[in-house]
Amino acid sequence: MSYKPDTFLPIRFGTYEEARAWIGRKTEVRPCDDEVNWQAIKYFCALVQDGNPNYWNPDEARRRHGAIISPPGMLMVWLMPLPWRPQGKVEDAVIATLVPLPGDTLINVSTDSEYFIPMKVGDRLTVQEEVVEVAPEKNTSLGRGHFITTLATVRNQNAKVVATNRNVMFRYSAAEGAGAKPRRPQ
Amino acid sequence: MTPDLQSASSSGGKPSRLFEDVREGETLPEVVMPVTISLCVRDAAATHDFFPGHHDRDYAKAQNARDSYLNTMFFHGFVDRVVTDWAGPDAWIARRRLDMVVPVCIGDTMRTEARVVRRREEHGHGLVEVEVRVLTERGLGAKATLTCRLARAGASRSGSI
Repeated sequence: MSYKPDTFLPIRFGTYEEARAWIGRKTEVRPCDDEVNWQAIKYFCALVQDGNPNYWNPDEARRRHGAIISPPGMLMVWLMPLPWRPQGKVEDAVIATLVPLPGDTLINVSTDSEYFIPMKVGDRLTVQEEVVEVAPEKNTSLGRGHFITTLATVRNQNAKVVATNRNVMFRYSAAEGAGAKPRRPQ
Repeated sequence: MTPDLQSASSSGGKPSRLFEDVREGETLPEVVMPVTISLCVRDAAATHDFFPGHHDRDYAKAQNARDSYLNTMFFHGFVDRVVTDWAGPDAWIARRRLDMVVPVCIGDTMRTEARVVRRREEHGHGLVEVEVRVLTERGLGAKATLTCRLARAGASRSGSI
């Protein structure tokens, strides 16, 4: 089959030892592609059917927060890089994809997010990410691989930390999954 | 419960739940949502997440998932909504811990089970911890614990910090 799916964010390959060297590394502070905006908020709320007036009613949101605010669940949405831009695709926007490991695919596993102040329409957010941990190889029902823990710190235009997000991603080889055929002997 | 007129007026009609009226073990209304191909498309579009596992069914299967599956940001928005639909617009979600147990795929129907697991005061704030379990026909798909600051009885205004 010649069809090759678009990987969206390319991943880097290497050994577990090479991955360990990434623990403690931080990205530069990256400005998010879009400012916090009402159009994106409405599409997100329509997805999960959230009618909270802080996201829909400007008068009420203004009374409570000074402006329409972003749902907290959009934190990672504001951090997503554009899939294309005139200067070329940004391929190093998400630090977890830069950690070199053997696995050929990935899936997100868990998050721990804290919200300190509202993200308001018009806010220009920045993000800085850090690799916190790369765990030894584990077997799961999806395949064999490594759990990567990263921490994102998100600030607004006043340099105030609005939220932090601890994220665990599983980088694995699907061909070695529980349902996979046994590998031929080398 | 008795509606609180002050909160009702500040939230444009719908009263927010007061910390004083919440008890541990209280259950939240169930939310049911089927996972369709269209929902996955809206998920990718609304979260700007074009990772192929969320829209390319062949790719998802090659990953050992049963089919394309919902992403992290969907669950963030979904469990938050379960809690704030109940708590009202004066509630502030301060923390959310989410574990995705198995991929929740096209063809599944999600059903939530949510309850207040803890209620405590901290620095004058009324905090509740709510556990939200997202179940499908196959069992537990995802589980979240949210810490929320609720409006308090007698407070002139609440919500923002």
